[in-house]
Amino acid sequence: MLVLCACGRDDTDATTTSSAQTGTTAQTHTQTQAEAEASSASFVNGQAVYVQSCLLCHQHDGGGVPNMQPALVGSEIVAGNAEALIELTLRGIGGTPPSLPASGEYAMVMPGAMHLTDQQIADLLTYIRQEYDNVGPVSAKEVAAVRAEVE
Amino acid sequence: MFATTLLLAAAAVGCQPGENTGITVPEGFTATVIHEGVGSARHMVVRNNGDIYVALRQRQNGFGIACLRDADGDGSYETVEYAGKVQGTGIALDENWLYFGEDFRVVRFELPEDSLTPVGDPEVIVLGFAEEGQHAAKSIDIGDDGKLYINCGAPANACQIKMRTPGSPGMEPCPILEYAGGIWVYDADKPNQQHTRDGVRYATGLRNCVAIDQHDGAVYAVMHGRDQLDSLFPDLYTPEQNADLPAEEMFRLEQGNDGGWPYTYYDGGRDERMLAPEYGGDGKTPAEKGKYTEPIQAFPAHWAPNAVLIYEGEQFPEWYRGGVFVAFHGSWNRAPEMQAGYNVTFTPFEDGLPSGAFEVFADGFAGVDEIRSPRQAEHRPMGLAQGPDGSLFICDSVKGTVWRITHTGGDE
Repeated sequence: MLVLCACGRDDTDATTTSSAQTGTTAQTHTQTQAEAEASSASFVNGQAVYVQSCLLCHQHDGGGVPNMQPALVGSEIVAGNAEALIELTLRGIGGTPPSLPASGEYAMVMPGAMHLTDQQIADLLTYIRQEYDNVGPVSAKEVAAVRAEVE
Repeated sequence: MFATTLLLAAAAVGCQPGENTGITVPEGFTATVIHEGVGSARHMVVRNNGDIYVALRQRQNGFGIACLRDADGDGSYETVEYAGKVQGTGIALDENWLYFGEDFRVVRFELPEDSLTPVGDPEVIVLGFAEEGQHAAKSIDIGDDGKLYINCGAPANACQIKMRTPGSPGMEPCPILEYAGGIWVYDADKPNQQHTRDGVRYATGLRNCVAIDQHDGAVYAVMHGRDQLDSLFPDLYTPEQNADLPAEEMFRLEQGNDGGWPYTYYDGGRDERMLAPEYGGDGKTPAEKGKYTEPIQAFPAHWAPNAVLIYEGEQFPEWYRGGVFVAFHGSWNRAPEMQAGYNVTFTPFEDGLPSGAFEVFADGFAGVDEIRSPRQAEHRPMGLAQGPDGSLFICDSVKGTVWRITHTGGDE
């Protein structure tokens, strides 16, 4: 829990500084490191969430199961717009509302993850985006904003 | 004479794993690849004249039925034509009618006596199945009584209030059972019957029996057991326990039977029906005795039984006659343990019930020793059919390979 709080603070710091676009080389170095550490903690925590909640279907390597569950590796949805990915994660696909409609391409439905905390979802998405598609992290703040709309 | 020579040549290499046929069969049997690349194969049937029909999940050039013929009788089915603007899993033959089970309707085509391909537009026999995803495949069989038997898989894992959500309790009673989670019977000749209004629910409490075979007054069905005991109830089950629970159950179903889904699952290790955690179970509490139909055989968890065939031929030795073959598509949800299944089993039967344990009959489909994900499997057994000469046919969903298994050894 302490780790999760620390994550959130570091994320906020990093965002503030990068939007300010200022600072000495030394400061930039420190903040990048902080950002890296935050992202790293989020990544590790996210991996645990993945193993508990997602691995069974999306598989140990994020490759999915043909016709059943889609791959996360090389997924335009995972690598794309963070808000859309958060919404999909919260609502799920193919179940009863607020679940999103299924494409018909895959036989399985995905349960929504409303039962996970904002931080758990941020960690999870940070993990799968970095591990499987090499794109940037997702913050708990972003998750909270989307959750407010979904609820 | 020439054909015999070819058969013997095939026999010489037929049992070598990984070579030519890719699969292993017991001594005395020969596996021959009769066609490769038929498409995304699901179930298959063989006509009295030896022609083979394979249902495809995805259309090939716009058509979902692969029609195979061995025109020159050399054992290789080199004539392949595609027909039928349909796609799905179920396929069945009734004289000059070819029935096809799409996910949300069952249709039939006219199949003239001398024609390899069905003709004309599909005639809708049953429609109105719930379009909810999950276990939508409609496997079908024309029974001894001439009726149409349809597996209506439940669009759920365990009928939870919140689908596949940790800790969510089950709905009681489970409303899905009114229209799915069972086997329904329909008139095979009456068009446009509405599910469930015009049919009879033959058996209920069946999560998803892709493998069904109506035979001798009963329906032999093998059920896909539930998933995710550990991820939905982490306080009650470990991931290792989930890898081995629950059993895939084989039933001999009579009218009115109840397989116990979603209220129960079968623990193969304890050899006992258990109360499901969504309905108050804790992994240790058995289900109420006598309330549900008992399985006639318990297979390992998550193997995914996708076809069942009662062997009615005389080509195979006495041991096999009247026994049951089951094609296991192979698991995807045994993590962190290795995946398993990917084989065809045989269970000896006497008087309509198993007379012994099941044995792996055909194996090596996956082409690798350890499977962590189904994507590693080169082949996955999907459909079974028996030829007019008593040969057994197996088709695969990955590459669309079709094998014929013949008995070429002695009758020991």
